[in-house]
Amino acid sequence: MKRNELLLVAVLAAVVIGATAVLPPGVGAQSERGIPVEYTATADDLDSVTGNGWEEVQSVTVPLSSAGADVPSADDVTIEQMRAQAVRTDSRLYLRISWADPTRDTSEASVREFADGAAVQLPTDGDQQPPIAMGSRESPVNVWYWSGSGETEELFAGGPGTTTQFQQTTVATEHTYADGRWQVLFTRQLAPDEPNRTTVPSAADEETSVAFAVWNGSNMEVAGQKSASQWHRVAIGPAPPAYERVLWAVAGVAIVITTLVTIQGIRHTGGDGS
Amino acid sequence: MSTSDGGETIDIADDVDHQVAMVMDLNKCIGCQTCTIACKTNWTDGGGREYMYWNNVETKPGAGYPRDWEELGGGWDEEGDERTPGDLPAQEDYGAPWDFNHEQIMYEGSDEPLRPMDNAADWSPNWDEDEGAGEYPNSYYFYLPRICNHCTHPSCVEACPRSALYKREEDGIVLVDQDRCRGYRYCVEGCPYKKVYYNAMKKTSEKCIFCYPRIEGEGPDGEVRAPACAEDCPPQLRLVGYLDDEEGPIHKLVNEYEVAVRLHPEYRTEPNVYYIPPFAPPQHAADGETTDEDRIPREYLEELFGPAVNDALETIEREREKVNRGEDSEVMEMLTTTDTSDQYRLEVFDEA
Amino acid sequence: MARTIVDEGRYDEAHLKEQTDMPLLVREDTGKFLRASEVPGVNVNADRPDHVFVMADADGGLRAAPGSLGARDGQHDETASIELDFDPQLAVDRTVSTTDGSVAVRSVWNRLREELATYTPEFVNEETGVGRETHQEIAREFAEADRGKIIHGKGVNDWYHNDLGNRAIQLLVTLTGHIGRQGTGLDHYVGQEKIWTYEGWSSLNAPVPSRSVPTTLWTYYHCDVLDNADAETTRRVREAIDEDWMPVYPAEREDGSRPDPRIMFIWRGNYFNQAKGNVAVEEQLWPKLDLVVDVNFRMDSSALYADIVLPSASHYEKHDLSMTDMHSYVHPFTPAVEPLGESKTDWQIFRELAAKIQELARERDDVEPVQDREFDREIDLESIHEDFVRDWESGEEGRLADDREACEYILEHSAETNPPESDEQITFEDTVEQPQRMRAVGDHWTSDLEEGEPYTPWKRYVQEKNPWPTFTGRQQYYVDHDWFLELGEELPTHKEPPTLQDKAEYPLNYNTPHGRWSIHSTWRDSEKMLRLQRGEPVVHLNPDDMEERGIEDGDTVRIYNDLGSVEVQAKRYPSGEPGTARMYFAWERFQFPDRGNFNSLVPLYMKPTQLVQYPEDTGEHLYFRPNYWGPTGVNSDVRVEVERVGGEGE
Repeated sequence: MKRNELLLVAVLAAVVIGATAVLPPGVGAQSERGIPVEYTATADDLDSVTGNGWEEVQSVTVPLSSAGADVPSADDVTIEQMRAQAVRTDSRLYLRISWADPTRDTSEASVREFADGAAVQLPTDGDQQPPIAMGSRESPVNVWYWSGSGETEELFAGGPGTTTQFQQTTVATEHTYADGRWQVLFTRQLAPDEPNRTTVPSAADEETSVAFAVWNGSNMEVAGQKSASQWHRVAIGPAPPAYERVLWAVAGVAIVITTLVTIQGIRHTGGDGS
Repeated sequence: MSTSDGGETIDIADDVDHQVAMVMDLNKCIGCQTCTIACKTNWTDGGGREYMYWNNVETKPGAGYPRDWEELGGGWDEEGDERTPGDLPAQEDYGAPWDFNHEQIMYEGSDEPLRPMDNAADWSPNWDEDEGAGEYPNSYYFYLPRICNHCTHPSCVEACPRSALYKREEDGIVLVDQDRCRGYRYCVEGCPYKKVYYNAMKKTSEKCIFCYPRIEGEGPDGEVRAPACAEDCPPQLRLVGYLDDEEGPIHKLVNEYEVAVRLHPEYRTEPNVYYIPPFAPPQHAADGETTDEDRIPREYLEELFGPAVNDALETIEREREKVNRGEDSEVMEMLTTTDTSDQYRLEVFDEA
Repeated sequence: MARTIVDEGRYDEAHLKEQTDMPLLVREDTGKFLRASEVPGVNVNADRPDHVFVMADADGGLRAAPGSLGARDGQHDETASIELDFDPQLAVDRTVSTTDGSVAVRSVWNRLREELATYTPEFVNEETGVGRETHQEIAREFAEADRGKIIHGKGVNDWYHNDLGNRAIQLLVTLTGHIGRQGTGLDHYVGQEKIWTYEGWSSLNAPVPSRSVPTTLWTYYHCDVLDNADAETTRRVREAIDEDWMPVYPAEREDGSRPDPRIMFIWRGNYFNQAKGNVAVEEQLWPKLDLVVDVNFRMDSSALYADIVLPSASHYEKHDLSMTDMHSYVHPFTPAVEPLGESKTDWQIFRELAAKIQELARERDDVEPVQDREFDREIDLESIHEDFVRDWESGEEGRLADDREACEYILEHSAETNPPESDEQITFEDTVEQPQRMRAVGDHWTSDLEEGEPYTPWKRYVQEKNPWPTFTGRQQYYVDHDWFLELGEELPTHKEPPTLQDKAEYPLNYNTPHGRWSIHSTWRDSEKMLRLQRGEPVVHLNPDDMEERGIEDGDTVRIYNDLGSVEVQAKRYPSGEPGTARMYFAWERFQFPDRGNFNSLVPLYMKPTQLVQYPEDTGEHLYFRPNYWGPTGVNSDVRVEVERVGGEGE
């Protein structure tokens, strides 16, 4: 077995252990300005922006308005609301947002072209609620920034104008545009083991906040000229009981075996030249 | 900050030790674009900068580069406190850096004429070259070389919500910190001279850096050299140095004799590039006689350089007459020197 | 302006008397100068009194003009002087007893005054558009200035009557005495091809006098223009060739035939693009050539139409010397980078060609040395490379193998850089250190070099009173060559341009000035520069002419006349004189649809007066020498019409 195949098995095995916390779709509570984060043992049908599972996930409408930043035309924004859905596994957060924008702006190839964009802002320290405009020095924020040009950045900021990009992005995004509507899926580990990165709580009794912003590129919205939300409480859904974990562990082992068999099959047909 | 000596005050920005400055004598510019090419070859030949001309030379009157930049706003209000909003130029107003079908003609046997490919040639940075205004035989035009003015009160710096643009402490050169810049382009619209450019490949804004590696001694042969646009100029129309170098010609021409004036002072960014305004032969009457009428209307020069242009022109006129009478003129001496140690004074503040 | 200066007495009388032909007497019957040999009693101490000229002194006595060619030893004779020991009269109108009897004579001055009288302020205004007062005011200012200088470019040379134009302009500095001192003179900036180190260069170039030809005449001849030119022009051109006033190669054979050229090497030029009348070049000359080799650092139009292109190193890839008439220094070229790709320096290209010929000749072993048809030498192909690299002077074998050594050779063998009886030699290394001012002047200079002063010509004549290198030994405005007399051009005069195209059919003047950012065609297709223009050839038109023709800025227009038609973009140019279509020259053929170019509208024409030798028999005054005397290619007398392409009805 080659090295990368061994690696694959190891990863799968790790998933099996981790996935002993799986559940059927649960219904999280929602309070005012709260974004429910439902728990799921496996995100198979949620790890794509168009995954079927999202149909089952509660959607929250988030009102947006000008962020009122100190930049020219700050009030000239066009998007007034968006929707948000969130799910977590034991290790990852899945956050899908969507909003209506009749113009699909993906290019920044010339001086007057601005791409559509979206951002998710989280307090760096989960229990704080920093100033909404990019936090402050004492109370910084993490920002996950997605651009219609296809780029994703993970940013750190301690106040307006201080945004700094983390060297490596741990956030993955996927997007789709259909019927005049963007849908963007952000996923990330709940708890990256790195300084200054927000740890998303995994216990129902832990609280944190989230805020959103979107930009309409064809209205030349950029930087502080954006439609932004207020802070919203993140409502973490509870994890399932222990017996379910055992069942999922068994299923997981089966998956590993199946995978190994498949790998061997591919090797025999010589389908892999690597 | 200002320094004073014998009652004279030299205004430079707070928090800078010295301020680089340039004086360009428009009477010497022949529109050859050597400066443009020197700059392009050094700094903007690739990497998303192809369309940029940190140094350009435009025909005035004319639309300039980018097209109609003077109509796009930016700069400061009358009190100089509030920025006035500016617009981003349209990309096509910069003109496209055309590619040509040389390859096809030279090596593939094409019978087509050499042309910009993709057939998009309807504007370029110098499209209206030599057009000017007026009617034969009293038409007029002159060339205006432009770089970043490295202003004392730069609206591009103020425009950036991220403080990515800054004036260098040691010499007042305005730079874009490429690590801070996120390509918002507030500086592009905020500069009334439209001398900050958006690099779509890097998604950051970029601009003239006053060839700072050269003035820091990292140019060819490890010598301190003036910016390439100045040194490569065939008629040597530029003086380069520090505004606060009181022994230098720039201070004298700008502050003492007041013959070097700012372009569009009403933008209130306080440029540190100064111009010796252009003279032209007087108009001809219908019968071919020379008249006393200015060829370049004075109102037009005022529009470009503000009311200070009047005194500047009159002073130069007086100084020229002095030379014609065989008298000495420090002004004309400074404007006609061929001594490069007078033209380029960049080491005056170096520690001994 | 000359009329104003003369009429108002603002001329420098002493200068005219001593330095010019103005006091010389001219026979009214023949128009020829009165010669000392024709006037019994004129005291002349000369070998050739028929080449000595005559002036009248203050008392009316006839005197031999000092410095006349007949009293000198050749064109340059420093032992002779034009200094006067009498006061000649400028204005003379009288009779003289000659060997032909009594003959009416007038001084050149009187003839000039008669000529100038034509140019009344009204006439000048009518012809030039310059105001009646304005041109006189300029004349007065120029005459009264302590030092006056005229600087002009190549524009005048583009016209058929360029010799008349230049003589007229030069007349102004002569009349006012603004000549031969610092800050004076006529600076005519056309190219910078001044080889100060002429001796070393010619010695390196050829062990025998070289076969230079005037390119204009050569092209004219081999494009068979003589078959179509007017009878008088044809007669004069043939006479100039037959009289050997101007060389044409291949040389005439013993049977009177002259072969067509067969092989052409194009080196340091873009001949196929730049030759005037390039329709004829393509249609008449090119078919005669079996082989065209282009040695070039650009893929230009000539390279595209050559059989073989030998890529050469550019200025910054080789060793070479640079000199110009703009100053008196020698600059080096040194390689900043190695030659790109397979390119080689010019010296190396020619040397390696010689080496290959030698190799092949030796392999064959039956190649007899060729006797030079014209000069006393043999060309031995079996040693041609060894001959190429041999130092002709010292006999050192293999010395000139590389370019730098060739430069060194030039410096070594020129008086300017290695003055005889002096150790002041300039080496190539010295020029690399910094540009070096010439150490001394050679025979072909007209002033000495003075420390701290720019070089200013003509001092030897004006200040040291050496005879000028003309027939009369003076600044000579009257040329009594038969052709000049026949054409009424013995004095500078105003003539209308020749009619090349019908004015009604082709109402616009067509001119092709020098581009600002190209060196002729070099860099004309530079993408960097084209991006700063319109990317394609343009014609500058006055807005009135555009409006009349329904043309707008940016339109594609056709410029045409009876010779050809080219498509270019129209550019609005309010500073252009109405009635003028101006196309800055040197666009490459491949920049035009159908591969015409700016020269497609220009016929191959040439002024016969520039083919003469003078004096007719011995030619000391005017004789062919590249860049000094010969016919110029002209192009500004052309007329065209312009129309919009794709307009109504198309």
